[in-house]
Amino acid sequence: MKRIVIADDSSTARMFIRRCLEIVGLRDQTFVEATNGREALDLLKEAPTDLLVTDLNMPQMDGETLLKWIRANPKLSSTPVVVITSAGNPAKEARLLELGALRVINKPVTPTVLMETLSFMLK
Amino acid sequence: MSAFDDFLKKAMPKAVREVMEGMAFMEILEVTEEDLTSDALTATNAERRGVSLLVHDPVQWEFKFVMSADLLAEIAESVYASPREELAAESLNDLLAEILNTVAGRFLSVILRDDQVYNLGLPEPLTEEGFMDTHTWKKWHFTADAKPFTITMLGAFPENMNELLRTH
Repeated sequence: MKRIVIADDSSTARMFIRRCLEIVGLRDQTFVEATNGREALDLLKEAPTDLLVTDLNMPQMDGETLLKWIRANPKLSSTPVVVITSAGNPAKEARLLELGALRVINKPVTPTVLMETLSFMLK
Repeated sequence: MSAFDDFLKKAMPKAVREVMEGMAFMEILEVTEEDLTSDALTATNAERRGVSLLVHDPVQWEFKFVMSADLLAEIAESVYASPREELAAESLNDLLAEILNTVAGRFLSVILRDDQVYNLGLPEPLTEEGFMDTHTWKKWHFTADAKPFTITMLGAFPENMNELLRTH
């Protein structure tokens, strides 16, 4: 069973992302939810995590800062991170990919895009 | 109408359709205020829900998203796959905020150049004063399942607007 952390300040977005993950084949996994980057960082430190799906624009700690903290921590730095954002554009996407994001996806998330992104987990 | 006005006018319906059809599987129609029946407007104004979102950079704009409580509940039933009686008010407010957040992002990505980074604030519920149409710049009317909703944009062009925009 895989551990997946979903970080978004919107409960609707967290539910929507989780539903999409289940549709693409990640049913019956351990889903853990965070409402900001700081909470997500604490959850990542608690237990090994197979995937972090995070929003970019969140209170307290945003997704980009979270990504920097993850990459700076040797115990967390290999965690696959998918960034989901409503404020994405090629310039920001390039910066996030440089910081180690696996992929940057624009909202609204669709199962098709998640399936392409997470093919490495779905085998 | 200037080419820029026309560009903006068309960009918002595109963003709204992408988001509402993608999230709630609802068909969205753009309408004019004159198209709306007085019954529909009365129903919207009787018990309405609204949310506001600021754009911090590269422009200082505000979006407002207003619809009836009934339409919001209908959308929530579709998104959450639950009857409205089982949905908390908090979930409904969060849904409204998330839709506007996503629409605003799609809208800005349509109108701004690819290399133009933009930053959005966090959505806030509208207060009673917030429902009033003061300093409105652009307003779009739509219907979903024959029930109206509106998106209003407040703000103005910055001097360097042409440098920020995608060619249109």
